[in-house]
Amino acid sequence: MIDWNRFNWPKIIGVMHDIESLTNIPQCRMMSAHILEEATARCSDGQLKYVGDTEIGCDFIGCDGLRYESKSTQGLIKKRGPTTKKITLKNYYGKCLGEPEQTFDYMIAFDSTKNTVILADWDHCIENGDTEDAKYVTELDVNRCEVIAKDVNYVAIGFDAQQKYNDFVSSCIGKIVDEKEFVMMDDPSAIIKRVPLEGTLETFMMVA
Amino acid sequence: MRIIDDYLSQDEMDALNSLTIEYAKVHWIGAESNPETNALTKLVHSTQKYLDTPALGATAWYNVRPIDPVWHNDILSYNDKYPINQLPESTFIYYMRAPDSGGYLEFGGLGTLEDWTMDVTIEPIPNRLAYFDATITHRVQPYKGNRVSIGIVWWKITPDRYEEQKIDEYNVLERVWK
Repeated sequence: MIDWNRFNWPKIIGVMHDIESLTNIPQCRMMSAHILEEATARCSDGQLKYVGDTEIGCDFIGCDGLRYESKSTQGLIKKRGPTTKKITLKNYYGKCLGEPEQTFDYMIAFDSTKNTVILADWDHCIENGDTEDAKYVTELDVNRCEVIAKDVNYVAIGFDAQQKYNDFVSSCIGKIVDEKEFVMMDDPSAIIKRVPLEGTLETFMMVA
Repeated sequence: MRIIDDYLSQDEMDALNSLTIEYAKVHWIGAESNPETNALTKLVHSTQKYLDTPALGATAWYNVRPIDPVWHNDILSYNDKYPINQLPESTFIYYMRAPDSGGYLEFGGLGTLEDWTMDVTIEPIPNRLAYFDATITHRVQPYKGNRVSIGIVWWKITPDRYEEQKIDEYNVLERVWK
Protein backbone atom coordinates (compact mmCIF):
# COMPACT_ATOMS: atom_id res chain seq x y z
CA MET A 1 0.00 0.00 0.00
CA ILE A 2 1.38 3.39 -0.99
CA ASP A 3 1.52 5.94 1.85
CA TRP A 4 0.73 9.20 0.06
CA ASN A 5 1.60 11.23 3.16
CA ARG A 6 5.24 10.27 2.71
CA PHE A 7 5.43 12.13 -0.61
CA ASN A 8 7.19 15.49 -0.73
CA TRP A 9 4.20 17.23 -2.30
CA PRO A 10 5.51 20.81 -1.84
CA LYS A 11 8.52 19.90 -3.97
CA ILE A 12 6.49 18.00 -6.58
CA ILE A 13 3.95 20.78 -7.01
CA GLY A 14 6.82 23.30 -7.01
CA VAL A 15 8.42 21.48 -9.94
CA MET A 16 5.05 21.44 -11.70
CA HIS A 17 4.88 25.22 -11.45
CA ASP A 18 8.51 25.73 -12.38
CA ILE A 19 7.98 23.92 -15.69
CA GLU A 20 4.54 25.39 -16.40
CA SER A 21 5.90 27.56 -19.21
CA LEU A 22 6.98 24.44 -21.08
CA THR A 23 3.41 23.21 -21.32
CA ASN A 24 2.67 26.20 -23.55
CA ILE A 25 5.22 24.97 -26.10
CA PRO A 26 3.66 22.03 -28.00
CA GLN A 27 6.97 20.25 -28.62
CA CYS A 28 7.85 20.48 -24.92
CA ARG A 29 4.65 19.08 -23.44
CA MET A 30 5.93 15.51 -23.30
CA MET A 31 9.14 16.74 -21.73
CA SER A 32 7.31 18.70 -19.05
CA ALA A 33 5.18 15.63 -18.28
CA HIS A 34 8.35 13.58 -18.03
CA ILE A 35 9.93 16.06 -15.62
CA LEU A 36 6.87 16.02 -13.37
CA GLU A 37 6.80 12.23 -13.40
CA GLU A 38 10.51 11.98 -12.54
CA ALA A 39 9.97 14.48 -9.73
CA THR A 40 6.99 12.49 -8.44
CA ALA A 41 9.01 9.27 -8.38
CA ARG A 42 12.01 10.88 -6.71
CA CYS A 43 9.85 12.58 -4.08
CA SER A 44 7.85 9.45 -3.31
CA ASP A 45 10.13 8.32 -0.48
CA GLY A 46 11.08 5.32 -2.58
CA GLN A 47 7.50 4.18 -3.18
CA LEU A 48 7.21 4.84 -6.93
CA LYS A 49 9.60 3.91 -9.70
CA TYR A 50 9.40 5.84 -12.96
CA VAL A 51 8.83 3.42 -15.86
CA GLY A 52 7.37 5.82 -18.45
CA ASP A 53 10.49 5.41 -20.56
CA THR A 54 9.87 1.69 -21.06
CA GLU A 55 6.16 1.10 -20.49
CA ILE A 56 3.22 2.29 -22.58
CA GLY A 57 0.24 3.82 -20.80
CA CYS A 58 1.84 3.55 -17.37
CA ASP A 59 4.26 5.98 -15.73
CA PHE A 60 5.12 4.32 -12.43
CA ILE A 61 5.34 0.96 -10.73
CA GLY A 62 4.50 1.25 -7.05
CA CYS A 63 6.13 -0.60 -4.20
CA ASP A 64 2.71 -2.29 -3.90
CA GLY A 65 3.23 -3.80 -7.36
CA LEU A 66 0.46 -1.73 -8.92
CA ARG A 67 0.74 0.42 -12.03
CA TYR A 68 0.17 4.19 -11.85
CA GLU A 69 -0.46 6.71 -14.61
CA SER A 70 0.11 10.44 -14.13
CA LYS A 71 -1.95 13.25 -15.68
CA SER A 72 -1.79 16.94 -14.99
CA THR A 73 -3.81 19.89 -16.17
CA GLN A 74 -4.83 23.38 -15.17
CA GLY A 75 -8.30 23.67 -13.68
CA LEU A 76 -8.78 19.89 -13.51
CA ILE A 77 -11.31 20.13 -10.69
CA LYS A 78 -14.13 22.34 -11.86
CA LYS A 79 -15.65 25.00 -9.65
CA ARG A 80 -19.07 23.51 -10.05
CA GLY A 81 -20.32 20.05 -10.74
CA PRO A 82 -19.02 16.74 -9.49
CA THR A 83 -16.78 15.89 -12.44
CA THR A 84 -13.30 16.94 -13.52
CA LYS A 85 -12.36 18.43 -16.84
CA LYS A 86 -11.93 15.83 -19.57
CA ILE A 87 -8.74 13.79 -19.31
CA THR A 88 -7.39 11.98 -22.35
CA LEU A 89 -6.86 8.33 -21.47
CA LYS A 90 -5.72 7.30 -24.91
CA ASN A 91 -5.01 9.22 -28.10
CA TYR A 92 -5.20 6.91 -31.10
CA TYR A 93 -3.94 9.62 -33.47
CA GLY A 94 -6.38 8.35 -36.08
CA LYS A 95 -9.53 6.29 -35.85
CA CYS A 96 -10.63 5.96 -32.27
CA LEU A 97 -10.69 2.28 -31.38
CA GLY A 98 -12.88 2.81 -28.33
CA GLU A 99 -12.19 1.65 -24.81
CA PRO A 100 -8.44 1.09 -24.44
CA GLU A 101 -6.83 -1.97 -22.91
CA GLN A 102 -5.99 -1.60 -19.25
CA THR A 103 -2.46 -0.28 -18.87
CA PHE A 104 -2.60 1.08 -15.30
CA ASP A 105 -4.37 0.39 -12.02
CA TYR A 106 -4.60 3.95 -10.70
CA MET A 107 -4.44 7.41 -12.20
CA ILE A 108 -2.69 10.19 -10.26
CA ALA A 109 -4.29 13.41 -11.50
CA PHE A 110 -2.69 16.78 -10.74
CA ASP A 111 -4.67 20.02 -10.66
CA SER A 112 -2.09 22.76 -11.14
CA THR A 113 -4.63 25.47 -10.37
CA LYS A 114 -5.79 24.10 -7.04
CA ASN A 115 -2.41 22.48 -6.24
CA THR A 116 -4.34 19.35 -5.45
CA VAL A 117 -3.77 15.74 -6.44
CA ILE A 118 -6.48 13.09 -6.72
CA LEU A 119 -6.38 9.34 -7.26
CA ALA A 120 -8.81 7.32 -9.36
CA ASP A 121 -8.82 3.61 -10.12
CA TRP A 122 -8.98 2.16 -13.62
CA ASP A 123 -12.62 1.07 -13.36
CA HIS A 124 -13.64 4.59 -12.42
CA CYS A 125 -11.73 6.02 -15.39
CA ILE A 126 -13.38 3.60 -17.79
CA GLU A 127 -16.90 3.86 -16.35
CA ASN A 128 -16.83 7.60 -16.98
CA GLY A 129 -15.00 7.30 -20.30
CA ASP A 130 -16.16 8.06 -23.81
CA THR A 131 -14.78 8.41 -27.32
CA GLU A 132 -14.10 11.89 -28.62
CA ASP A 133 -12.72 12.16 -32.15
CA ALA A 134 -9.45 10.21 -32.12
CA LYS A 135 -9.28 10.10 -28.33
CA TYR A 136 -10.75 8.12 -25.49
CA VAL A 137 -11.46 10.58 -22.69
CA THR A 138 -12.79 10.42 -19.18
CA GLU A 139 -14.30 12.78 -16.64
CA LEU A 140 -13.63 11.69 -13.08
CA ASP A 141 -16.26 11.96 -10.38
CA VAL A 142 -14.33 13.96 -7.79
CA ASN A 143 -16.44 12.55 -4.96
CA ARG A 144 -15.29 9.06 -5.87
CA CYS A 145 -11.60 10.01 -6.03
CA GLU A 146 -9.19 9.87 -3.12
CA VAL A 147 -7.67 13.28 -2.50
CA ILE A 148 -4.01 12.47 -1.82
CA ALA A 149 -2.73 16.06 -1.59
CA LYS A 150 -4.83 19.17 -1.13
CA ASP A 151 -4.08 22.90 -1.50
CA VAL A 152 -0.37 22.22 -1.30
CA ASN A 153 1.85 25.13 -0.31
CA TYR A 154 4.52 24.43 -2.84
CA VAL A 155 8.22 25.21 -2.97
CA ALA A 156 9.33 26.30 -6.42
CA ILE A 157 12.89 27.02 -7.49
CA GLY A 158 11.63 29.84 -9.66
CA PHE A 159 13.72 29.33 -12.80
CA ASP A 160 12.72 30.11 -16.38
CA ALA A 161 12.13 26.66 -17.86
CA GLN A 162 11.46 28.04 -21.31
CA GLN A 163 14.83 29.83 -21.29
CA LYS A 164 16.52 26.68 -20.06
CA TYR A 165 14.99 24.76 -22.94
CA ASN A 166 16.08 27.39 -25.46
CA ASP A 167 19.60 27.33 -24.00
CA PHE A 168 19.60 23.54 -24.23
CA VAL A 169 18.58 23.64 -27.91
CA SER A 170 21.26 26.22 -28.64
CA SER A 171 23.91 24.21 -26.82
CA CYS A 172 23.02 21.12 -28.86
CA ILE A 173 23.48 23.05 -32.10
CA GLY A 174 26.60 24.91 -31.03
CA LYS A 175 27.97 28.02 -32.69
CA ILE A 176 27.18 28.49 -36.38
CA VAL A 177 29.72 30.47 -38.36
CA ASP A 178 28.11 33.26 -40.39
CA GLU A 179 24.63 32.47 -39.15
CA LYS A 180 22.12 34.77 -40.85
CA GLU A 181 18.79 36.13 -39.67
CA PHE A 182 15.75 34.93 -41.66
CA VAL A 183 14.57 37.50 -44.18
CA MET A 184 11.41 37.04 -46.25
CA MET A 185 11.81 37.74 -49.97
CA ASP A 186 10.19 40.91 -51.25
CA ASP A 187 7.97 38.87 -53.52
CA PRO A 188 7.33 35.54 -51.82
CA SER A 189 5.62 32.88 -53.91
CA ALA A 190 3.23 31.98 -51.13
CA ILE A 191 1.67 33.98 -48.35
CA ILE A 192 1.48 32.21 -45.03
CA LYS A 193 -1.86 32.94 -43.45
CA ARG A 194 -1.58 33.52 -39.76
CA VAL A 195 -4.19 34.85 -37.44
CA PRO A 196 -2.44 37.64 -35.56
CA LEU A 197 -2.84 37.64 -31.82
CA GLU A 198 -3.69 41.26 -31.86
CA GLY A 199 -4.64 43.64 -34.64
CA THR A 200 -7.41 45.64 -36.17
CA LEU A 201 -10.67 44.15 -37.35
CA GLU A 202 -9.67 44.70 -40.97
CA THR A 203 -6.39 42.79 -40.59
CA PHE A 204 -8.19 40.06 -38.70
CA MET A 205 -10.78 39.74 -41.46
CA MET A 206 -8.03 39.40 -44.05
CA VAL A 207 -6.66 36.29 -42.41
CA ALA A 208 -9.56 34.81 -40.47
CA MET B 1 -36.61 40.59 -27.81
CA ARG B 2 -35.64 44.16 -28.53
CA ILE B 3 -33.87 45.85 -31.42
CA ILE B 4 -32.20 49.24 -31.15
CA ASP B 5 -30.92 50.82 -34.36
CA ASP B 6 -28.25 53.52 -34.60
CA TYR B 7 -27.05 52.33 -31.23
CA LEU B 8 -23.61 53.98 -31.07
CA SER B 9 -22.56 57.47 -32.01
CA GLN B 10 -20.30 57.92 -35.04
CA ASP B 11 -17.29 58.50 -32.79
CA GLU B 12 -18.02 55.36 -30.82
CA MET B 13 -18.42 53.35 -34.03
CA ASP B 14 -15.15 54.71 -35.39
CA ALA B 15 -13.40 53.82 -32.17
CA LEU B 16 -14.82 50.31 -32.28
CA ASN B 17 -13.84 49.88 -35.92
CA SER B 18 -10.28 51.02 -35.39
CA LEU B 19 -9.75 49.04 -32.21
CA THR B 20 -6.58 46.97 -31.98
CA ILE B 21 -7.53 43.93 -29.98
CA GLU B 22 -7.43 40.13 -29.89
CA TYR B 23 -10.33 39.36 -32.18
CA ALA B 24 -9.99 35.59 -31.99
CA LYS B 25 -10.48 35.51 -28.23
CA VAL B 26 -13.19 36.06 -25.67
CA HIS B 27 -13.12 39.24 -23.62
CA TRP B 28 -14.20 39.13 -20.00
CA ILE B 29 -15.52 42.49 -18.89
CA GLY B 30 -16.32 42.61 -15.18
CA ALA B 31 -19.46 44.53 -14.26
CA GLU B 32 -17.37 46.94 -12.17
CA SER B 33 -14.34 47.07 -14.49
CA ASN B 34 -13.35 50.30 -16.18
CA PRO B 35 -15.73 50.98 -19.12
CA GLU B 36 -13.17 53.31 -20.65
CA THR B 37 -10.57 50.56 -21.17
CA ASN B 38 -11.38 50.45 -24.88
CA ALA B 39 -14.28 50.85 -27.30
CA LEU B 40 -15.39 47.25 -26.80
CA THR B 41 -15.57 47.54 -23.02
CA LYS B 42 -17.51 50.76 -23.45
CA LEU B 43 -20.02 49.04 -25.74
CA VAL B 44 -20.37 46.09 -23.40
CA HIS B 45 -20.85 48.28 -20.32
CA SER B 46 -23.50 50.27 -22.17
CA THR B 47 -25.69 47.15 -22.44
CA GLN B 48 -25.67 46.64 -18.68
CA LYS B 49 -28.59 49.03 -18.30
CA TYR B 50 -30.86 46.53 -20.06
CA LEU B 51 -30.39 43.95 -17.30
CA ASP B 52 -33.03 43.45 -14.63
CA THR B 53 -30.66 41.96 -12.08
CA PRO B 54 -26.99 42.62 -11.30
CA ALA B 55 -24.33 40.61 -13.10
CA LEU B 56 -20.76 39.59 -12.29
CA GLY B 57 -19.45 40.37 -15.73
CA ALA B 58 -19.86 39.78 -19.42
CA THR B 59 -18.18 37.73 -22.07
CA ALA B 60 -17.90 39.45 -25.42
CA TRP B 61 -16.72 37.84 -28.62
CA TYR B 62 -16.52 38.66 -32.29
CA ASN B 63 -18.39 36.60 -34.85
CA VAL B 64 -16.29 37.30 -37.92
CA ARG B 65 -17.77 35.63 -41.00
CA PRO B 66 -19.22 32.68 -39.09
CA ILE B 67 -18.60 29.72 -41.41
CA ASP B 68 -20.61 26.97 -39.74
CA PRO B 69 -23.84 28.51 -38.53
CA VAL B 70 -25.49 25.78 -36.47
CA TRP B 71 -28.30 25.94 -33.94
CA HIS B 72 -26.90 26.89 -30.56
CA ASN B 73 -27.54 28.98 -27.52
CA ASP B 74 -24.79 30.97 -25.91
CA ILE B 75 -25.26 29.58 -22.42
CA LEU B 76 -24.27 26.11 -23.56
CA SER B 77 -21.43 27.51 -25.64
CA TYR B 78 -19.80 28.51 -22.35
CA ASN B 79 -21.12 25.86 -19.98
CA ASP B 80 -21.46 22.10 -19.89
CA LYS B 81 -24.80 22.49 -18.13
CA TYR B 82 -27.27 25.28 -17.58
CA PRO B 83 -26.36 27.27 -14.46
CA ILE B 84 -29.83 26.80 -13.00
CA ASN B 85 -30.96 29.74 -10.80
CA GLN B 86 -28.04 31.75 -12.21
CA LEU B 87 -29.12 31.91 -15.84
CA PRO B 88 -28.00 34.97 -17.77
CA GLU B 89 -30.90 37.08 -18.93
CA SER B 90 -30.06 37.94 -22.50
CA THR B 91 -27.79 37.44 -25.43
CA PHE B 92 -26.84 40.81 -26.93
CA ILE B 93 -25.74 41.10 -30.54
CA TYR B 94 -24.17 44.23 -31.94
CA TYR B 95 -23.77 44.28 -35.71
CA MET B 96 -20.64 45.83 -37.19
CA ARG B 97 -20.72 44.59 -40.80
CA ALA B 98 -23.64 43.45 -42.91
CA PRO B 99 -23.17 40.74 -45.53
CA ASP B 100 -24.06 41.36 -49.17
CA SER B 101 -27.13 39.18 -48.75
CA GLY B 102 -28.72 36.85 -46.17
CA GLY B 103 -27.18 36.34 -42.75
CA TYR B 104 -30.35 36.99 -40.76
CA LEU B 105 -30.42 35.61 -37.26
CA GLU B 106 -33.20 33.05 -36.88
CA PHE B 107 -34.60 31.32 -33.84
CA GLY B 108 -35.67 27.70 -33.60
CA GLY B 109 -33.99 24.34 -33.28
CA LEU B 110 -33.62 20.79 -34.48
CA GLY B 111 -36.87 18.92 -35.12
CA THR B 112 -37.64 15.24 -35.66
CA LEU B 113 -38.34 15.58 -39.36
CA GLU B 114 -37.28 19.11 -40.03
CA ASP B 115 -35.97 22.05 -38.03
CA TRP B 116 -38.58 24.23 -36.37
CA THR B 117 -38.28 27.99 -36.55
CA MET B 118 -39.95 30.95 -34.96
CA ASP B 119 -41.62 33.49 -37.20
CA VAL B 120 -39.10 36.17 -36.40
CA THR B 121 -35.60 37.00 -37.65
CA ILE B 122 -33.10 39.78 -37.04
CA GLU B 123 -31.53 41.46 -40.02
CA PRO B 124 -27.82 42.20 -39.60
CA ILE B 125 -27.69 45.97 -39.99
CA PRO B 126 -24.53 47.82 -38.94
CA ASN B 127 -24.84 49.73 -35.67
CA ARG B 128 -27.85 47.67 -34.62
CA LEU B 129 -28.06 46.24 -31.12
CA ALA B 130 -30.44 43.36 -30.56
CA TYR B 131 -31.05 41.32 -27.47
CA PHE B 132 -33.16 38.31 -26.67
CA ASP B 133 -33.59 35.60 -24.05
CA ALA B 134 -30.24 33.88 -23.64
CA THR B 135 -31.84 30.42 -23.54
CA ILE B 136 -33.31 30.70 -27.03
CA THR B 137 -31.59 28.58 -29.66
CA HIS B 138 -30.57 30.53 -32.72
CA ARG B 139 -28.40 30.39 -35.81
CA VAL B 140 -27.24 32.55 -38.70
CA GLN B 141 -28.93 31.96 -42.04
CA PRO B 142 -26.69 31.44 -45.09
CA TYR B 143 -25.23 34.63 -46.47
CA LYS B 144 -22.74 36.10 -48.92
CA GLY B 145 -20.10 38.67 -48.06
CA ASN B 146 -18.63 39.82 -44.78
CA ARG B 147 -20.73 39.55 -41.68
CA VAL B 148 -19.29 40.75 -38.37
CA SER B 149 -21.10 40.94 -35.08
CA ILE B 150 -20.19 41.11 -31.41
CA GLY B 151 -21.93 38.72 -29.05
CA ILE B 152 -22.33 39.74 -25.42
CA VAL B 153 -23.67 37.75 -22.48
CA TRP B 154 -23.81 39.10 -18.93
CA TRP B 155 -23.20 36.31 -16.42
CA LYS B 156 -24.24 36.09 -12.78
CA ILE B 157 -21.47 33.58 -12.14
CA THR B 158 -18.38 32.72 -14.14
CA PRO B 159 -19.18 30.27 -16.96
CA ASP B 160 -18.09 26.69 -16.26
CA ARG B 161 -15.28 26.57 -18.72
CA TYR B 162 -13.31 29.44 -17.27
CA GLU B 163 -11.48 29.97 -14.05
CA GLU B 164 -13.23 32.29 -11.61
CA GLN B 165 -13.46 35.78 -13.11
CA LYS B 166 -13.68 38.93 -11.03
CA ILE B 167 -16.23 41.73 -11.11
CA ASP B 168 -13.61 44.47 -11.47
CA GLU B 169 -11.34 42.89 -14.07
CA TYR B 170 -10.97 42.90 -17.82
CA ASN B 171 -9.39 39.71 -19.12
CA VAL B 172 -8.75 38.15 -22.50
CA LEU B 173 -9.70 34.46 -22.46
CA GLU B 174 -9.45 31.52 -24.80
CA ARG B 175 -12.45 30.82 -27.01
CA VAL B 176 -14.00 27.67 -25.66
CA TRP B 177 -16.08 26.76 -28.68
CA LYS B 178 -15.50 26.72 -32.44
